[in-house]
Amino acid sequence: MNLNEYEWSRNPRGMHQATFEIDIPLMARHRMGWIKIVALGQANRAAADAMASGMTPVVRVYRERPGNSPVDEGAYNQYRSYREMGVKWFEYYNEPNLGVEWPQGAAYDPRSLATIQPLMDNWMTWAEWIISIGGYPNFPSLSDVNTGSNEDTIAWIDGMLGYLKQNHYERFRNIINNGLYIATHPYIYNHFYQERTGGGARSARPADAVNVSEGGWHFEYPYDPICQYDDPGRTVRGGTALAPNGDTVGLLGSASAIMAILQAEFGVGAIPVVSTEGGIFAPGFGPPQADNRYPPVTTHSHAHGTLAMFEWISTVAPAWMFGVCLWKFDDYYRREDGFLPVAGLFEQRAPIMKDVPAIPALTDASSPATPPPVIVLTPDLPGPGPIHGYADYQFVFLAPSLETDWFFDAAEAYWDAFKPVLVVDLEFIEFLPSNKSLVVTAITTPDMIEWIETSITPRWPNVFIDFILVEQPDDLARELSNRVAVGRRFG
Amino acid sequence: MRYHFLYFAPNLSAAWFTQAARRYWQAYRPMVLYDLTFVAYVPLNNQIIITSIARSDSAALIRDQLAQELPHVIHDPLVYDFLDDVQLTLDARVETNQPFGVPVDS
Repeated sequence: MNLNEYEWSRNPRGMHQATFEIDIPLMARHRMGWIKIVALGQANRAAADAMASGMTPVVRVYRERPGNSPVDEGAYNQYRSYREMGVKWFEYYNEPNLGVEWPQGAAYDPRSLATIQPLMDNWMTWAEWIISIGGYPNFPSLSDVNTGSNEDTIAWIDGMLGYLKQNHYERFRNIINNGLYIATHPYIYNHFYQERTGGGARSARPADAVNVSEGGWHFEYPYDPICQYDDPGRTVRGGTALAPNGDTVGLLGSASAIMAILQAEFGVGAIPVVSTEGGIFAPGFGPPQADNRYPPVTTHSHAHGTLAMFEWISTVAPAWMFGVCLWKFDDYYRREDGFLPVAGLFEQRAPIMKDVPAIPALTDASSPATPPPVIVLTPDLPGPGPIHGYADYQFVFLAPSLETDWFFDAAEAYWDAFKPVLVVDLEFIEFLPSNKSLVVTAITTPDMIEWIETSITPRWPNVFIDFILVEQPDDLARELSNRVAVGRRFG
Repeated sequence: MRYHFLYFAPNLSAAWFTQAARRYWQAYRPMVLYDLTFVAYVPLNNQIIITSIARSDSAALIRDQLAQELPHVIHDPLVYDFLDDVQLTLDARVETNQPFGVPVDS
């Protein structure tokens, strides 16, 4: 698939709906190209009306604190109803690097396989399904956090893409080549400026002197002259003492970091980036001068800066940058002081359409793909290889002594969350190659532990056995529920 | 050797397994999968039967995937849009002792 084959308005200007409202005729008058819809129920008219007015809807089905759990059947039905309406751009996993997107008390860490594996496995299942119905799935959006903590943006990018490279290289490339786009949430604060006329690259006009009709705008943070003069060599991944954990708080911040890895590690030419939230915070909803190297944001600079940002996307930004859905409709249009001044500029000033070249999603798609090298770790032992941090596969094995009704009564949520393989014959372990590792989750009564160990360990010493001991039906239900609650396949 | 897999389309919830296929699984004990790549590990000198369960939206995708990637397997497709319907079919297979919906050699 080529970059110019994605179907959209070619207009980078976009708006995110308020919780329950977006005025489509107003958005059409203000010449929006994107409309972000958060779906709380079956498809409503907003998406259809937006398309009828030449706007491109992006639909995210909302689930409260989904963590890394799979997409549920109701959500799939919602996506289907929007797709049947004609919507093509879809989102699901939203800022998984933030605790507010995880069940209360759940552990989440981009460096932990227990976090990343279910998230990416479930995301791929959803993405492939979206592609199967003719839609475009998003690569999960991330909030910009550059602290090195378990919410750190770069750590999440590395964790998610590293897992996909090591475990699902070709499968992920297939998604890339069939409609994937990257969703980002660049809240850029005051990381933009317009040069003074004749003042040089590092000169910034006062906030109330900027003008969208004139040139000299900078939205390339942290690569703009002010930041690079202040902290030479800073990149979105960091690289300096002042930014040890990266600096993604810019219009292209996390997008640049993701695209660089996709191009270097997965053979990507370019795929779209759509910022499904973000922009310059509407005045009153963010700090006016988060970074004192740059002028503060005023209602005037917000208006001109926002318009300039969209025009910069069309004329200066990389071909893959498709637009921003401003956060959010009520912050712009349902204020005590009426519409923000930027609304007047939206109405007066025609958007600049983006010219998109035919860059292939995969630069080597026509030639045989080169998978990552496989390291054979234990060629002399039969069956699967040793586990290095995580296992490639999980078998669930029901001991012969177990009453299977107990399993069926208790396993639904666990199965929805983790989708393991259910085996009844341990001989299948023999088929696994030595470059794959395995955990067998053995659900058993206590009297069968020794039998299971002697059946597995002497023949396949690399297999880790994860016992779930059951004496009463409630034991199994409790253990599986606990694992689902904390998002841990193996407890 | 014959290996029987029960494969569920990825977009189906676990209820299609734990509710609809409960009796069927208890009767025939197939290996349950959500990832077809796994089947490729079975040596080719074995007989492989995949009973797939999918809604009409993804059935063709699964059929094509099997034809392209696992042409040696026997495909037993079940295409239903509602959980209750597939349960009726699977339960009927148990009642008639026909794990694949037709009389088969043991």
